[in-house]
Amino acid sequence: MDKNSNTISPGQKAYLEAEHRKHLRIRLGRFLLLFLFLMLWEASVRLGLLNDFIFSSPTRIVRTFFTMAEDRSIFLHTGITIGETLISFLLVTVLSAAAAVLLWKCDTLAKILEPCLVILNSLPKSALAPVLIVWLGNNIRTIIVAAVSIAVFGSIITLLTGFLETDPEKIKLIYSLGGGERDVMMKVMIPGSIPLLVSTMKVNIGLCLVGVIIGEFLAANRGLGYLIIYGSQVFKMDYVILSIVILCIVSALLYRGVGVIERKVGR
Amino acid sequence: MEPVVELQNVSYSYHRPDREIRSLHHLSFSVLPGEFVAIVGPSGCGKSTLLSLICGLLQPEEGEVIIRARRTGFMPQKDHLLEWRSIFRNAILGPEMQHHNTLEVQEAVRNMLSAYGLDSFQNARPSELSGGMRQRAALIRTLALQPDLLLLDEPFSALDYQTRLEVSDDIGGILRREKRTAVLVTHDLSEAISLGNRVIVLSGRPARVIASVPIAFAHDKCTTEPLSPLARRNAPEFAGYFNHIWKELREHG
Repeated sequence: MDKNSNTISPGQKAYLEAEHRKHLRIRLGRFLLLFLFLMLWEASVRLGLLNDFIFSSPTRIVRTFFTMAEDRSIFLHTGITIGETLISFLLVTVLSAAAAVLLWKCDTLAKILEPCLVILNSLPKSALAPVLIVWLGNNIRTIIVAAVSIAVFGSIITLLTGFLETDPEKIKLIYSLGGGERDVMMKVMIPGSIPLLVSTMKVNIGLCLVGVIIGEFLAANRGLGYLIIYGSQVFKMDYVILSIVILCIVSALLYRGVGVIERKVGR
Repeated sequence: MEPVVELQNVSYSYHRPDREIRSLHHLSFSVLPGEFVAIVGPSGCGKSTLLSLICGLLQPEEGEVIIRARRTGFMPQKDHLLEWRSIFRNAILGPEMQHHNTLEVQEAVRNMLSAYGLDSFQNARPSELSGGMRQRAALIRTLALQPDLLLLDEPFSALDYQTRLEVSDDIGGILRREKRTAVLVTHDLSEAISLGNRVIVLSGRPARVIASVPIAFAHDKCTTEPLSPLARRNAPEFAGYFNHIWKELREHG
């Protein structure tokens, strides 16, 4: 061990302090930005520059939140949306991983299905939503299917491409050590694709939230997406803006959640 | 003595939609037990294909490959240690896949790791090791299956020059001591002469055998301790062999 590891040299100390100050400045800047935005919004409404009936205001949002928290309806709507997002995220992860493994094993099938995947991936899935309502009904199934359909095809393509990039020399090594296709999959392909899997999950959690909101716009009587549509129809913009604020927080938390998984498997 | 490896009129081609690449053309040679054969040839002449055929990863299109070895060990150009496994878990990969990951095998692997100076790195990740150490770990991974035939595909080419000399000395010594039958493929003539008992010279594509040069050093005949690969490079016969093989390659390659 370095004998200086316990005592910090003046240069190192200055560097650490500078880093710390930089960190503080960034935090302060972020806080100020939020604070100024809210102040400006509130002030414009109070001074009559903005019509709070249309633009709502921070205090009105907080008041709406507490009113809705009293009868627990806001928690119900948020919980429904989070639940639907998590279910569809789980489905997307399992389905796309399974499909990508299958297509990796069966090259011909992958080639046959390639055009379908490309078309389904680039098709705007919101176009499917009305069809799904007719087929599946005005319920949670439609919402889940809509969310899954948005994320699953791109996810399959990304994972399959990643799997196919497995170093052929590493595959050769497994065979030369007497392993089989199963070993190639379990010892090289899947462990090597963990970073890719996690980054795909990060994209998917956002896409699932988008899908759930689109689904709730069209086929729900609960959830934040429903609340947004309902609020705009009855011209209660407080509902709409509050839902959007909650959505911001929810999406940040979900993204963080995947980040936690990433750090767990990164070790 | 029956040869461990016997190739009879072996041909192999790679097929592409636009053309056929003839890699090996009616190739025949054999390797006797305990021999260390080095195969040299111009780059891209099909040396690696040859090893894949001997290893059983490819099947010849014509001719026959007869292997009389219980187990064949293959050592690739790069170490290909898996980053998500510790050095010990990398070394035990072969037995693990063959389902005889017993305590005795684990003990043997641990002993090899400490014998080759990797004792304190058993639980380290491959990225924490130097190039030479990684190559030694890769050799242990190959030896863990106790192969009686070793195939080495330019195993030192990814290393820098100094490490390369050290590691080839190291690994050459290990293999010589354990009297393993080995086939080394390389484009480096000095490496071939310093390691092999015999050098087989291949032509350019499609590869055929141009010459088979037995390598013998006067020193080895009068002592029991053979010259190390590094010492061979300084032996008087070295330059003669080098020029001879170089000439074969230039005139017929």
